[in-house]
Amino acid sequence: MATYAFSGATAPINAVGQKHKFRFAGTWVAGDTWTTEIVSTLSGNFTLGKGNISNQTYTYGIALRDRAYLSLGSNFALSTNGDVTAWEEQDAGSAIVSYTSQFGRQDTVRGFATVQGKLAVFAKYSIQIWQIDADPALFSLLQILNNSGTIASLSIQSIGDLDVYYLDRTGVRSLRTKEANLNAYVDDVGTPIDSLIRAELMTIGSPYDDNSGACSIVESVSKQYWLFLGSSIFVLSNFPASKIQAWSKFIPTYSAVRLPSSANYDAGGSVFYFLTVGESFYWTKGAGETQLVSGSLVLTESGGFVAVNAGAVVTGVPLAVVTGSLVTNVTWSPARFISHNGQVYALSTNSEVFRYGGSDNATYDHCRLKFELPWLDLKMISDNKQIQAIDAAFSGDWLGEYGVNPRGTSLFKVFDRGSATSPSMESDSTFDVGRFPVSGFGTHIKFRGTCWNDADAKFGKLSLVYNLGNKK
Amino acid sequence: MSSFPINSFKYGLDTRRDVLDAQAGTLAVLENGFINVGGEIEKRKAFDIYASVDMFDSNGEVAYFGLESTDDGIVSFTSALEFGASVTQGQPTLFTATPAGIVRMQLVHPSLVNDSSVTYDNTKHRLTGVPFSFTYRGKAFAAGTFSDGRTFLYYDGDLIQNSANGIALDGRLTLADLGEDLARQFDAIGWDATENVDENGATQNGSVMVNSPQSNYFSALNSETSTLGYFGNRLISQDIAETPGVRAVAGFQITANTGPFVVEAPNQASATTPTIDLCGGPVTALGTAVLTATAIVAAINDLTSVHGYSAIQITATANIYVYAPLGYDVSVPIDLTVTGATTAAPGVSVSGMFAVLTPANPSIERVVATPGTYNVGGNCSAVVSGATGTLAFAWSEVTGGTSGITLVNPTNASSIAFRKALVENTSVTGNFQCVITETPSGNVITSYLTITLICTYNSGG
Repeated sequence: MATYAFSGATAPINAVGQKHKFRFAGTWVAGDTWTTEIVSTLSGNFTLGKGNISNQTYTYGIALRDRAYLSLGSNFALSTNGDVTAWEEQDAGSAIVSYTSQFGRQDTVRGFATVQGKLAVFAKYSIQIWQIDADPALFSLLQILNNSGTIASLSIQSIGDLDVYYLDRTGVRSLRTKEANLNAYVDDVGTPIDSLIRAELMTIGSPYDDNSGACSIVESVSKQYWLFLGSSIFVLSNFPASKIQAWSKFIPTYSAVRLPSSANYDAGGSVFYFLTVGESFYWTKGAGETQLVSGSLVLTESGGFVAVNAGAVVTGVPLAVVTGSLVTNVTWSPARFISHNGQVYALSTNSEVFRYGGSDNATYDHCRLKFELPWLDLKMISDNKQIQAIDAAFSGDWLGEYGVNPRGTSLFKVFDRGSATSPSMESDSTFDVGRFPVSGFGTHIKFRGTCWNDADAKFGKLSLVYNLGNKK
Repeated sequence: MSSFPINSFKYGLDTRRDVLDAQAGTLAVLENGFINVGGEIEKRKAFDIYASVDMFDSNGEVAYFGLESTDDGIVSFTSALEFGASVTQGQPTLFTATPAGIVRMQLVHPSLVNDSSVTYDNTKHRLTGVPFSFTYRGKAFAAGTFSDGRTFLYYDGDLIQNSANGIALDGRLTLADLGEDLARQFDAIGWDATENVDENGATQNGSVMVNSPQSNYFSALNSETSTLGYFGNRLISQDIAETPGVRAVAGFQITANTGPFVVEAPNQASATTPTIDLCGGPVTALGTAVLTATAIVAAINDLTSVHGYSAIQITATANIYVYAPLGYDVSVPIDLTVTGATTAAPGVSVSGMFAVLTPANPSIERVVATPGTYNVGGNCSAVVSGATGTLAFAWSEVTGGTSGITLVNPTNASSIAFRKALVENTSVTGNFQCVITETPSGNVITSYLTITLICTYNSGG
């Protein structure tokens, strides 16, 4: 084998239309910017250096209809179609659009969504509806909705193309379209919980504070809208066909094992647990254990409680290995939600990544499910009622309590029954197991249900059995 | 006795009215549950810890920010290299490995992206937050805020230059740095730009010489927001003619006709490997070295459309000259590798001109119906590539040739006619050459051809 060197090559030098010199001079400091706008005969106009999106403060971005949108203060920018890396004038389809506020002071763009195929641009005090096109020159402003906007970019969520939820400074609202003329309007979907939302905003700061820390997601399976604000996740279950539009609240917690003071009971048969006052705990009674005592709270069976004391003592077999367990529900705060492979994940403010539903998307824990009815007058405001019994349909292990004294603070146990491990409405409900008598006399009655199961539990119906007394 | 049923909780949590006057069926409190499609109260599922990105880099700084769902998995963003990675530009590494289930996506400050000589500075180049992110076509689009207070945009971990262009950044404030930035942006749109040289090619920091494509004329309007910095431009010249390139050539001669022969050369201009077999496989030796050389050249030219190399043979010799594609052997020296008994061929043409004769070796047959003497002839053309000047053609029979074939038409033309009078059932073969001279360069190439004329008597019986 032999090698023969190539020789004689010279590289071609292309013909040049124009030779031009650019020159930087002087002294430049950090933050200085430069731009050159070129007008050429064959390449058209283009910009190099600081262009549409350089040296800007971006508050929000989204991908819609195969291009990206960025909020840039009182403007918003569009990328070229099909390429989210190209934003300059030479990139066909890219543009800067001015959000000219006509309500109050000059507004700033907070986010975007689509409604009925149109672009909804959210600012703090108003919303603009735009007809969009691949050619930015064909964009047109169709509608302005004043006096409603969002203070939280991450609160904006679309469900389909007809509904957009967002956090207004007065509460959660929905941007929808009218069937008659397809005009957008603001629906007060969040008014049932406005007082709760405003209370959370007040604790965060001014109602007009931009740093609400709110974030949201649409849960993939149920299509619930989740909004985290303050210390709670507000959940909207919206099933139009069933005429259900209902709010609830999740307290974001995760289960963590609380270790006892020692691995064995002491000579007296006791072991101590340190508790955090205000946190909720669930005690699983172990073999040989008799009770858990924390202040005035005494549990003789597995159950949950909210700690009012800083410690608890569990009694078991002296010197034996501790057989029971105590878990605590540790609160955390989401900073961002995502949906991945049909499950909700959240990045917390302390950089943990949480997953809703566990690895099988069907995992439950011992967080406390609690509901309370308001004081019910049974549609007879001033009539006294003698409460006789309470019946309920539910699955899981539920504690039912009632009260007849609105000025009092105590509720009384009606029933504490059901399966904690194999919930079944047929066997757990009260209807087929006799009477659950209660005693009380008053114009109003309240009911509270509590469940600590680490399984799917439901509460479906409630029946208040009473005798009508004299009018007041 | 009466009963008051509440058959559904479909109104959910409702605080519009106070607890004493609320509508029946609403709830004053509902924690850790939701209203399901049947109007029942149902418990929520558990939140468990999927992974922890509460991690630090080797500088002790918080490492990870943000979260996004992508086709590659759940992504979190950092400016640090992976734990245990080789350090470049002084960047920190993660203090521990990224947890399972999380995909690390590094967002690198533009100063480090655009200048490999810049060293990581914790006070300027550290990622401190991800204000937002979203997914586009399965990949993450993210805004990254750095310790210098600036926010830049990234797609699939790559800096979106539009978000950083035109900003004088800490650590890249010299005139030379600014010149590099401008030249990079001109290069990105396909224009030729050379940074930090003046119009005479001398070093001048901050100067950028830009050449626009042919017939593309332009004006530039500059602006800057600098108190003490300046940014100017001016036209130097227009309509600069092209300078054609010259193809590199290497030649070899078959010294012993024992094959097979394999001819290889680099498959790209930027490196000497990998190589490609120019003939598409070993070439078996034929009856003579000349015939073998013909076969090698034909095999190379059959695949010119694949590898870009072409070849010529000096007719009646075993000398082969191989021409590389334009642009090869300019920045990276390349070699021709030949397996088989060969030596260097004499007189390698260095002009880069290349001529193809059509037909390459004409064989003309005239069939006649009656015996007699007949003129048999044909034409041949030379198509030249790689020439820029004026060409002169000189057709002639090679030295010592006695075929008697006459060249007709002026010999100084790219096309020539040839003929000879033949008696039926006779033939003649002659070796000819076309010497092509280019002025004013003086480059000369010679192409060879073999002409065969045949007169065939066919009585038709």
